[in-house]
Amino acid sequence: MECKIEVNNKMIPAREGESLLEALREHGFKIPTLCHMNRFSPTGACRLCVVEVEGMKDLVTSCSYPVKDGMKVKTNSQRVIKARKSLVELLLSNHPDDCLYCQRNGHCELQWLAGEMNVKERKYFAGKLTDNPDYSSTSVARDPAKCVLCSRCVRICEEVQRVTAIDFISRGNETKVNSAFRKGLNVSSCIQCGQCIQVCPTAALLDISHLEKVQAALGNHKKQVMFVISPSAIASVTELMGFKAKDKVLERLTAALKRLGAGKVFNMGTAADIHVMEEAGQLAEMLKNKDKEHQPLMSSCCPSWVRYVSVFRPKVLPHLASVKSPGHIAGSLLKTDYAREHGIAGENIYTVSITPCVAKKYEASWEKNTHQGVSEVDAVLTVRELFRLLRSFGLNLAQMEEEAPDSPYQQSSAAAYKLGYSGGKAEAVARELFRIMKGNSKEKFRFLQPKSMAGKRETQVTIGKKQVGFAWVSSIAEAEDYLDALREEGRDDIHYIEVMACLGGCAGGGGQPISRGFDKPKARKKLCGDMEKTATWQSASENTVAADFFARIPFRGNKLWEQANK
Amino acid sequence: MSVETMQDTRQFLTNKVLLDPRRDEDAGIRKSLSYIAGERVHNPMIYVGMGTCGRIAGAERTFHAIKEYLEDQDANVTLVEGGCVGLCKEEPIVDIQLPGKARLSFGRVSHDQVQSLLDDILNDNLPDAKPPQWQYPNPILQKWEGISTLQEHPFFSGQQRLLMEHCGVIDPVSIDSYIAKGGYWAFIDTISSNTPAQVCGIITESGLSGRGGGGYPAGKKWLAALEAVSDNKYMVCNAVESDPGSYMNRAIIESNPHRLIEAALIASYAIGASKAFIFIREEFSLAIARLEEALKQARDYGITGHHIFDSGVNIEVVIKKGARAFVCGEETALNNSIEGKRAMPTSKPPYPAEQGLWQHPTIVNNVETLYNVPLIMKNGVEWFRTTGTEKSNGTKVFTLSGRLQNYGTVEVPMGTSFRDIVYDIGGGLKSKQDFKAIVLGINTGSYITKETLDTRVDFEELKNIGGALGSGAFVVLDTGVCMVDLARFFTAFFKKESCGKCIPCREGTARMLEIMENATRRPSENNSFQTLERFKGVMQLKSLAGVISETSLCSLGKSSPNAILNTLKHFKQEFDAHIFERKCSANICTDLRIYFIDVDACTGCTACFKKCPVDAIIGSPRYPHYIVQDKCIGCGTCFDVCKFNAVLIK
Repeated sequence: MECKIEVNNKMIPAREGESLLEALREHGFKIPTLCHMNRFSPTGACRLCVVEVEGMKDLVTSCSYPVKDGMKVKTNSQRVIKARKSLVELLLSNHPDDCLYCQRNGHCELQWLAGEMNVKERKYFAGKLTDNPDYSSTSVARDPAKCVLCSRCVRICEEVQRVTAIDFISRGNETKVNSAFRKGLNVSSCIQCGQCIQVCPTAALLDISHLEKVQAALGNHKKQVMFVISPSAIASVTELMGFKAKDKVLERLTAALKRLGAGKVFNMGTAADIHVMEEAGQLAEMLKNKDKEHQPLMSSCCPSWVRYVSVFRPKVLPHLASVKSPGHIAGSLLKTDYAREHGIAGENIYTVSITPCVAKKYEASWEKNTHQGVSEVDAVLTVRELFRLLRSFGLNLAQMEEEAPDSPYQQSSAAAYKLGYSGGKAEAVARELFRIMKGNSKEKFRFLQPKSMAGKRETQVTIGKKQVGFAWVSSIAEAEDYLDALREEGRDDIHYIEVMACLGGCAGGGGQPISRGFDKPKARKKLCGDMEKTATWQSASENTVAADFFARIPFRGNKLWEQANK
Repeated sequence: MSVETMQDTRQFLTNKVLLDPRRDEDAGIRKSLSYIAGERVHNPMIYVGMGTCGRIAGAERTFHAIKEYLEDQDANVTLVEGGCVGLCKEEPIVDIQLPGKARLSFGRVSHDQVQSLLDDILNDNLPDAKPPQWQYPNPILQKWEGISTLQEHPFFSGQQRLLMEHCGVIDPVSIDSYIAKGGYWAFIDTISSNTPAQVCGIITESGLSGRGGGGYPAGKKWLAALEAVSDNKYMVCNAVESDPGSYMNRAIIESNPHRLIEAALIASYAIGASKAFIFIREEFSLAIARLEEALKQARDYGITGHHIFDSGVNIEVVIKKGARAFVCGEETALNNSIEGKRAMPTSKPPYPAEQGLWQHPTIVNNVETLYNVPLIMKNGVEWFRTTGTEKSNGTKVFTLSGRLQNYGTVEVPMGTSFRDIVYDIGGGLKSKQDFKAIVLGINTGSYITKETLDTRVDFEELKNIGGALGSGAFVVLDTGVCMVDLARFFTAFFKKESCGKCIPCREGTARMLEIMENATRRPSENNSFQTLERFKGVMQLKSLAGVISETSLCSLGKSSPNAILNTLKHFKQEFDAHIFERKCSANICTDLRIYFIDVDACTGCTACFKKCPVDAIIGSPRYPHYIVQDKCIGCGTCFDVCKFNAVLIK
């Protein structure tokens, strides 16, 4: 219900029942927060959003206080400012204070807050927090000393991913966020999606960096370093640097990486096209055999999803498609096919994937992705690390000339870009399936995506006389709910489900540049859409390199699920 | 009418008493009830006060001694494990009732006194060596001559025992004696003749306010839950008594668990809940055991469970044991704990009455609040309003402790002055030192000082002097207590017990504790930085305390600086003396003591030299010794071992 509230002696419209914070922010009042996350229920832990409400004895937290008609609010009274400043000073009283050596220096919300509150000295002296950092995981590093206990990571792990690999332990001043039995993330149920890194306000959660490894390889003259850039990484670089889709960011990146000493720079798009073709092939086979055991087929390109299934839902394992992820298709192609063709020894090739994903670091460590102890992908750089790499060499993409990536993996179809966001891959697979199954019919491919992000995430594609059901979900909670609903309703009209563990798909990946809120994934998705239009080919199989490869090698039959179950 | 077997008793109690509204009219029934309740006995009956307080005082040994005695003598005597009458000082209390005679109470009966006591009393003689403390008056029984009644005893004369009327009197785990004493009547009458809305109305009208510390009107809370639309509602009894210095809830649950079950049933009925949780601390093992036994009996009798006495009312009572955590006493944290989550409070609004357990409307009431409910339902609003003051009705139960002559659990009508409680009921101070303050709990309570000692127990009056009633702790302090040290202790308690969720409570209490520790820490002569820190800390203390109380998430966090704020308010000089003069007037802060040796008195016996744990004393035999202050840790060993009073404290 519409109503009016008085804020700092100014009347503003608001809706009764919504949180005061929402109403205030909507009208441009700046309210600092640490624990608040859009779309999540408020916890009221950080108390930074306190405001003065007339008639209330104490200050109230605007994030959890509902709007009432005619209420009088003061957002910047002396009392409020003093309280907020004291809270930040309390947080800083035992902070390690090593900003100069901190990875989040300059991007740290605590640092911003201290600046905004005009904190000039350490007011309360307390022993600096020390705690053992946890580098046990393959993807996610934790440094509890930097933690401000805002519980954002705990909530996203519990509510969005339903994994709850980390939670609060101990009481009082000793409270920490930690994994079960303080054992380290590697033995926890963590699915390594990195969503916690995305929401962490400080440097308490970071990715396990492969930067030093890559730099060492770049300096090793025996090794030929081959970078493979995924289309979704191109989109996020474009977005972060403020480029447009037509600005040829891949070409600029290629030039920059070549300057770093890269032997070759490839586009992961071709591998993505192969991936889509193979998955569509498996789907076609499933449909042809009327294979109810494996229906619905689920995508397997997301390592976090595979990890989740093998840990929490082993019964779903047979439904996973048995296709390597694009990064590993590229890696194995380079180390075998490409090496053979160009007469390079496989062990002298050092492959580096650039993706917006931290779980790919984990995927690279899977046993089935290694041969004689050497992984197909030697290092995985997230987009964040890519920027750190470029910065350390002082390279500015805006001033970079354009240079085409190396052949043969130069170009990609629109399908490859579609892998970058939730719903895209389902469409790409559907298009490919349509090509395989249509035979001689002249009907046109139609894939109707519901417009709203929150709407129903499934559609039916007509191929000949057949209806094939496609669905797409992002985040584990959504996947779980969807699978439960399917089972409860006893539906069998869905044949393919695209699952991505991060919110919004890879566009919201754990390796993306840190962004507050959930708007950035949408922007990246839009960029992916723009880039699709610049692609030469529409469907994956139109990619001549991929099609050529498919013609040569019978790829089918690699039973991923048997090995993923480890 | 005689009641022979257990089955008969049960049928008699359910059919003739509980389900028959005319139960009071028949003299025969009244007589049978007095036998079941133990007011009249065929054979001698012995009750041993076996509450936790009694057990600590050695009641178990006394009990076994009595049991052995009875077995040896082959006497036809019933022996009962009783509850606590409230005067914990006199535990183990042994009550003896002979047929036709009033019941006698003997205090501090140790196991070796049992033989002579029972030899005398079972032969109808009053023991000379151990005179009885009091007798329970009863018009139908013969009075003992020359022995004061319970009401005449100084500890009890100022009390008005409504909630504690059965405490220490009946067998706590006998549903029969509870029903015979009038228990569960109110519940059965309520579900048969009142609608839930009427019950809420009665409680609202009675003016019963929450006894947990907040003082929020119970009826208002219930009405909000009753009016909330939901398919499921819950009633929760908060028995997480964790304020330092209070154990009255535990004592009354141990002594009369059935009334808590009855109250929980009425409260559940009043809001339309079908499930009541009694959330109790795991450490209250005796209270839990008795509550579980009582609940089993109530289930057997069909008083709880499905379709209670064919009324169509279903109420299940569940005992939920909680982990040892102060924060569980906060209602939202308590609800989270019941749900199986980490006990952390959540923001209010939404209040539990709208969205509590599993997002359903829930009322959370303190044990003491609930104990009032059956009484109000049974005796009516008017009766309840006759006790207490105009604004605050009923009684308040306190745990008396500290430097008092008498300590234990007391129940006083609202409006009693604190002076009366200290000097009449409490019997004055134990030591020769002067009265300093009363600590009414640290959670929501405040300090009562010499100046405010004439304040009455009343929500309004306490508010006027800037205090609060608290949950029921009543710790009396004399001048031998250091208020700064006490404030430090309370702050340390809060630091340890903070749930760790919100910044002000988690970080703020730790910082306050550091400041307090600085104030009581041993002065180091060459560390000017420490001195600066100390001064700086004290200057920040008040503003920091203000921010914590203003911005903390839950009421426990908000009250965490209370101890410090109260000390600053009432005992500022003491604080200043610690900071600036580095002196503790009560001589409690050992770190501030400076020991030195009187050269004239020292004989050079080397006793202190040998005992000093840190080798801070130098000197050779037969010559005066000297204490090196930089090394001294202030342990006081030299002071203790010196036979010539040569070690002095500055």
